[in-house]
Amino acid sequence: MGASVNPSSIELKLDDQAALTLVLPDGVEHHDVQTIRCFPLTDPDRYLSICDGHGRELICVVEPSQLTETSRLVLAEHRKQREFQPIVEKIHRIEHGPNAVTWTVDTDRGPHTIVVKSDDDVRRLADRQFLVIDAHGIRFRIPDSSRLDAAGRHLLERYL
Amino acid sequence: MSNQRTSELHPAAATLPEPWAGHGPRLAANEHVRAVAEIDLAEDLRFQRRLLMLTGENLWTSPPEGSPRGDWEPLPTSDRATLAVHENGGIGVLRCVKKSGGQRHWRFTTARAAEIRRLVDSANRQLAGGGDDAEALEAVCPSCGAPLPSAGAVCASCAPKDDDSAATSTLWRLRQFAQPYAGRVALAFLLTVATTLASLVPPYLTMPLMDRVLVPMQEGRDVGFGLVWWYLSGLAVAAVAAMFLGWARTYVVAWVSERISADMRTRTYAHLQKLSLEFFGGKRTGDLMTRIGSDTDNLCTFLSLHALDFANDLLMIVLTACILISIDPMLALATLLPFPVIAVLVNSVRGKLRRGFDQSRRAWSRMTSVLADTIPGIRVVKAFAQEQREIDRFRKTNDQILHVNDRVNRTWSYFGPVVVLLTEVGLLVIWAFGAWQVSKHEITVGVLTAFLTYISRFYSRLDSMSRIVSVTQRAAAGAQRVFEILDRVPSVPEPVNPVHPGRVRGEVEFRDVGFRYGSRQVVGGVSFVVRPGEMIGLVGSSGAGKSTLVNLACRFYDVGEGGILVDGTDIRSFPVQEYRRNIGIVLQEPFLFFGTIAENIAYGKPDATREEIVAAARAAKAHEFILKLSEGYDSLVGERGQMLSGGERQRISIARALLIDPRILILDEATSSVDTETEREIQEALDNLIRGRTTIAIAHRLSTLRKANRLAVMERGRLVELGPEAELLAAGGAYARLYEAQRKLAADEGVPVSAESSAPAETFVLAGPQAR
Repeated sequence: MGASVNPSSIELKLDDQAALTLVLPDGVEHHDVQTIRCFPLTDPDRYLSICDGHGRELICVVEPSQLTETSRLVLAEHRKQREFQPIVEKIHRIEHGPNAVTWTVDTDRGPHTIVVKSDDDVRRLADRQFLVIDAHGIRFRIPDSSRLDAAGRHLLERYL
Repeated sequence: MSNQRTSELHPAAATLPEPWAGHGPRLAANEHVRAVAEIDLAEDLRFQRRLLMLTGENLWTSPPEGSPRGDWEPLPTSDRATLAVHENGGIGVLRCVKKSGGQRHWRFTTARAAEIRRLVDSANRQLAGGGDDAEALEAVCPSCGAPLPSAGAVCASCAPKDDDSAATSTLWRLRQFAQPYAGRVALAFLLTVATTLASLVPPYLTMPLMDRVLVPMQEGRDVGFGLVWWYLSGLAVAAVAAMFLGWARTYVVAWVSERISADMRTRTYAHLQKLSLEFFGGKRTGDLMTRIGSDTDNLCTFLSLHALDFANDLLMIVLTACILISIDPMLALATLLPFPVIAVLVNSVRGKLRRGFDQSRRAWSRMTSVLADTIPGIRVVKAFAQEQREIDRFRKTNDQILHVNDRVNRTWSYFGPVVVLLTEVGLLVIWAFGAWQVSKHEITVGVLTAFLTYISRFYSRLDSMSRIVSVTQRAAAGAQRVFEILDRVPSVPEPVNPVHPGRVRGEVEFRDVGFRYGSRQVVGGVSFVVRPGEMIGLVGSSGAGKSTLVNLACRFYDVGEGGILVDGTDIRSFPVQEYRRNIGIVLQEPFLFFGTIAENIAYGKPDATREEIVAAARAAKAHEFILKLSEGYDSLVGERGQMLSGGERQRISIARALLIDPRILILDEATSSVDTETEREIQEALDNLIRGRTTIAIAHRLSTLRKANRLAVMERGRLVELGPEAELLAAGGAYARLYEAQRKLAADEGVPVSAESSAPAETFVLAGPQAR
């Protein structure tokens, strides 16, 4: 369990119910598996853990890029439907209320109002990279603050 | 003293402390001094110093310090039946039972206990037929006799304390922080001089403006407007120049002082990190936080604003005085008359204010301490519904601040107006004296005007100069508190000639280890060897000294007596950092820093790869619960981060220890704060951790010590039993009693002592709760 194996020796496919299925090198199939990134923020493209329905790790793929072509496509499709991490493209306003901070933003998924509970929920991941976690745990990303307009950068300054 | 051998301590040469130096007893030709110790109490428990000197043939007692030339009293070795030390409540007794009947005893305070124990040890070795104990005389603190980690190290209890010298001189010590910026400091000084000069020009120009232009004009003479323009542009240029110079000066000074205070913060914090746990045990968090935070910031403000103003004012006063004297010595003399009065006044208020501000700082840090104490403990406060009490406690400390500041303000408030009054008096003097001189045609109206302009500036400066007194004292008090930390010598000193441990094999030997906490002997005479890769379980009731032993093994404190040897080398001869790199610790209450899980696991090895981090987490059975967190290994934990359960935190701390792959492992009640189910998970993780490492474990629960090869049973600071569990049980001694007690308790509660108690190869242990 948990040991890393050669990624090309395993297979990911969708079964009849369109659930993600893992086929291990010894041919054992696990249906309805979950994929979890170990380092979603600092190393999102590596260390992909594949777990069963109870959260027990079946296998950890260190380099998902080495999966077979078909597995990769299945994986990409699967993740696309399960990941929701809007990217903030423009910050209109940041209003500080007594209990929360309200961000009025445009994201790649349309305009939105983010309600942030505390300043600690705005994390600076790297020099210009930010993660904003709203009151419901939804994650909004600012991959590169220099691509925001001047007003937006100015608003972000207090989180520097 | 540090390297003297017994053979060199011959009668005449024996270095006795004052006042006995040179007045030792008459020794036989081959009678060598083996040990010298001081006793400091008389029979009636009044302070009185005497010396005890142990030789091969006698135990000599010196005459009291009052009459050092008196006779020494011998007690022949042949007459000595037993010699033993007893301590209780800060007082010790050294008792010698004589073979010839009767006994002799000496009393001393615990301050001398270490020294006397050494003498007794030496004497008893001597009786037991032990030979030369020259070793024992090496590396002893010359002032208190406590053993030193290495020759030349500073004894913690005798380290020089900061003497309470005048606070202002403390400020002078800041220059060591200014040194790296010497160039800028010089520039700032030049700019200050230039600014002051520029600001002195305008009054000087008023003199000719008055005498050559205004007065003649009033008298109806035609002087033309050219001269007026000339003087006015002079005034304007001086003003503009003063502005630019002042700007440059303020910026440069602020730049330098900001750096000085930043350097100071870093230095103080770095020094703080090096101090042993003993120091932190005696200090309050809030107080330390104030010292590093606001005290250094106050210093910055002082340096950038007030010190600058002060230098400026001083210069201004001196230059003004010079100018005034050069214009008219008589009038200048009259003008400067009130100045000495003010100087005396300032000086008298100084001391009062300094004490006041010092108290004020203390009151502040008491208040911060209350905050630092109660905010982290808010759950306890609420659980016991003690909010009102905490509010009262806070109000009390806050009232102290109020009280202290009120007192300072009283002094302060009368000081300001007095200065103003003196200013008015000064002006009055000039008006009177000037008017008289003008009437006598000794000076012109222009000169008088110049004087008045100068002097109003002069006294306005005095006002701000008097203010400097308070800020200087405030800053000095702050500086003193910062230097208090910096002057503190780490009580776990670095060896002078370090031995580099590299990666140790992991043999740990406790050799006659003793440690006292204040006047209480916590651990004494503990000796045992842990073989490489062996697991030893430390067992004993609460307060038996188990935690102290592991703290000593980690070098959080240094042993008071004896030594701890790793691979045969005293751990005090290793550099602390290199030694600790070989040690992994899992504590009862694992501490997670604010940061991601990955960062917390890699705390002891910041350059660890993700591969290593994940591997450590897997071995610590933490991988899967980490995956369940929303950001996996990137999730924030620690004080402001996600809440993790006790077992989860413990497993992260196990992963942390696994990652540094230590040779020696310390488990300090690692499972005592979790439930049985969680404990099972932690146990699996611990089993992975223990494998192949020398382990010293304290445990509340039996199962943690399941894998222990041997158990060391502690009772009141002494090692009473040592051996495999089966043997100890069979022996029916202290361990068997402990075991039985816990088994009964477990039976009463319906909990099995251990789920696997039937497995013969394994060992189960019980122990009391945490000692400290």
